[in-house]
Amino acid sequence: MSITIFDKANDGVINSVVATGKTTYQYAIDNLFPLINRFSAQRKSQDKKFYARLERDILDHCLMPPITIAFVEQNFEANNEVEIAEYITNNIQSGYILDGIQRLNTLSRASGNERFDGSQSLYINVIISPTEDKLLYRMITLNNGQKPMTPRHQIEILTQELFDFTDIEITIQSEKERAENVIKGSFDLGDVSKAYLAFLTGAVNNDNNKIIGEKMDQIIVGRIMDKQPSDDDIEFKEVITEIDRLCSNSEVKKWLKIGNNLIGFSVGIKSSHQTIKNTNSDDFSDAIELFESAFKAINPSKVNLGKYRRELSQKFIENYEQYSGFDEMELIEEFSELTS
Amino acid sequence: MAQYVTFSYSDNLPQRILSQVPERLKISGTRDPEILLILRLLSGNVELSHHYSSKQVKSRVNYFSSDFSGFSNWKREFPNLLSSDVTAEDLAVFIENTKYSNKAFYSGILSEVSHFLLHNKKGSHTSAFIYIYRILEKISYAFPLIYASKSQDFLKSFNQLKDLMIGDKEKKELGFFKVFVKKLYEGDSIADTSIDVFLNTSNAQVQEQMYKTLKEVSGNSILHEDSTEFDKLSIKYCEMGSFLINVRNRFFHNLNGGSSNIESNRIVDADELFSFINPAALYWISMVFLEITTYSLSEFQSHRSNADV
Repeated sequence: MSITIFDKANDGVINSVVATGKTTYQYAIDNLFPLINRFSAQRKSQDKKFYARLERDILDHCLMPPITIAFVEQNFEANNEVEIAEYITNNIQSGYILDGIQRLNTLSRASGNERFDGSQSLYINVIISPTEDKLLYRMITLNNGQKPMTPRHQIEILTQELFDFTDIEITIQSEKERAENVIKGSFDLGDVSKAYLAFLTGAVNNDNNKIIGEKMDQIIVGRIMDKQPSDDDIEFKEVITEIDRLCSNSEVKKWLKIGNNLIGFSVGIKSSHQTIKNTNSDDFSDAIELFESAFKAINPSKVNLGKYRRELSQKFIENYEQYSGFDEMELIEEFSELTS
Repeated sequence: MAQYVTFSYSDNLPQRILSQVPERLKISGTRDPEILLILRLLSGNVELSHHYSSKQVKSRVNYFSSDFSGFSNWKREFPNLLSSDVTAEDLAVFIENTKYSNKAFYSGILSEVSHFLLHNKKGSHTSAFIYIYRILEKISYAFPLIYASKSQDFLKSFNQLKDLMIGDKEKKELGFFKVFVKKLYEGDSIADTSIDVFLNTSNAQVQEQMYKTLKEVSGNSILHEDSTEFDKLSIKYCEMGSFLINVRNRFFHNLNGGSSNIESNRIVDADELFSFINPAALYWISMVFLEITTYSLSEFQSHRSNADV
């Protein structure tokens, strides 16, 4: 075992165990470096010349700033530093590098040199978080200043890599997979990513063609930080579970496969989780039929079509208990109130 | 006597892209709808000829993007700016059906934009700014109408309009702009962003002087936290109108007494200073114009679909 943990504390915001410790360069190359390729959409390592200086310093026994690694473990319990160290060593292959990808890359390049000394110390920070959502919140608050990996990029990676969609009925395909083999009736991973972004920010409008990416990212980061996770919040996994359950009705599935509905649903359910949970898929199907007939009646222009669909589906799901009991006229009235 | 024709226009989209664009969105050179010419000029793909000086100016800058990067496919990308569900065909139908409405309004703006591009090309940036200011005043003529129709509460908006209309001149222009722009971008995330003026001078001392002068003129309340001394002055999106009015008042009026003016010696080279301000200013105006177009398009479509029923 070549990780030593000195101290641990709790991050009260994300309910995670945070520990600091130490390992060696050699251990980092053998065990941490392989982790940087775990994200399939990993950002490219930056130009070598930016890190040439560091490479030389490593050979001269420099001490790098700590690398941050993270784990997602639902019921993590460890009472002391030794147990934490044991946990890390045993689960190292499922860790994520949150900070220090470029440094690890440089380290690995430097290790090819004969002057390289693998016994030099490397300090590490470790975050063990109960859920992906909470980890992402911390990841974005940490990486915010970093240019190459935008928050949107991080979210895409997370939906792709951290969420395990294998134990649900519906299939979710990425654009790439779709090009190879189209599974009929599958959800688009891009839509799910957007829904996740909407879920995290609590806002349905995170796309704005008028704003260039960099500025949009600033806005999104601000929104995510404003929406600090709290304990009674539901997790995105539960949202997916609900979507999966409701999709046993084919009309519901058709409805949720429309990206804008999925986005509205994912934000709306935050306020009505219990109600939705107790709704069976056939009742839900009747409710969306009501939604659609009211939506047709408000007759939006094309300019507002997508915007209204996102906003109204959010409101509809948010107030599901009340709205699903409305008759068509009442709902139309409510909708025209909301869109005027 | 027929009026002297100052400018004529021809299409400058790459052939590969032009061939896909709906007929009605192409520039034919005769009787093109003014609103189309404006949108195409500002997106950087029209060639204009100034007859008197026999000058040809190719508009190349896309003022609809804050980094001025051009469209790689105008037909696909431009309508997206209006809304994600709008296609080039929708835009063509809208322009075809509304080309006679507000003709005087649009033709006024078209001529100001054309003059701006001409002076910009000549490198006379101080003169070019005057046309920017004139566009701003032209557009502000359309503001009250849109403001009233966007407000839900007619009584309240009437009073607000009345207050703004009868205030003293300074307050009227500034105050109304602020209220209007805020209304126009209500709930739109773009309102949280900034307009960035980059001071790309070759001399650090000049840069610092320009930065400080502009900052004094604009006041702290309209600065966005993105500003970096002394090369980037970021202005809160909704305050850009106030900034332009301030710059115009403090530079072109030069009255003694009252607020301090921009001293010409302090900024060293006015053309250079305005060459930094102008692109950002025209970008902002283009976005306001785009918003107005989006709004008219939405009105047009909902009237249409209501008539269908």
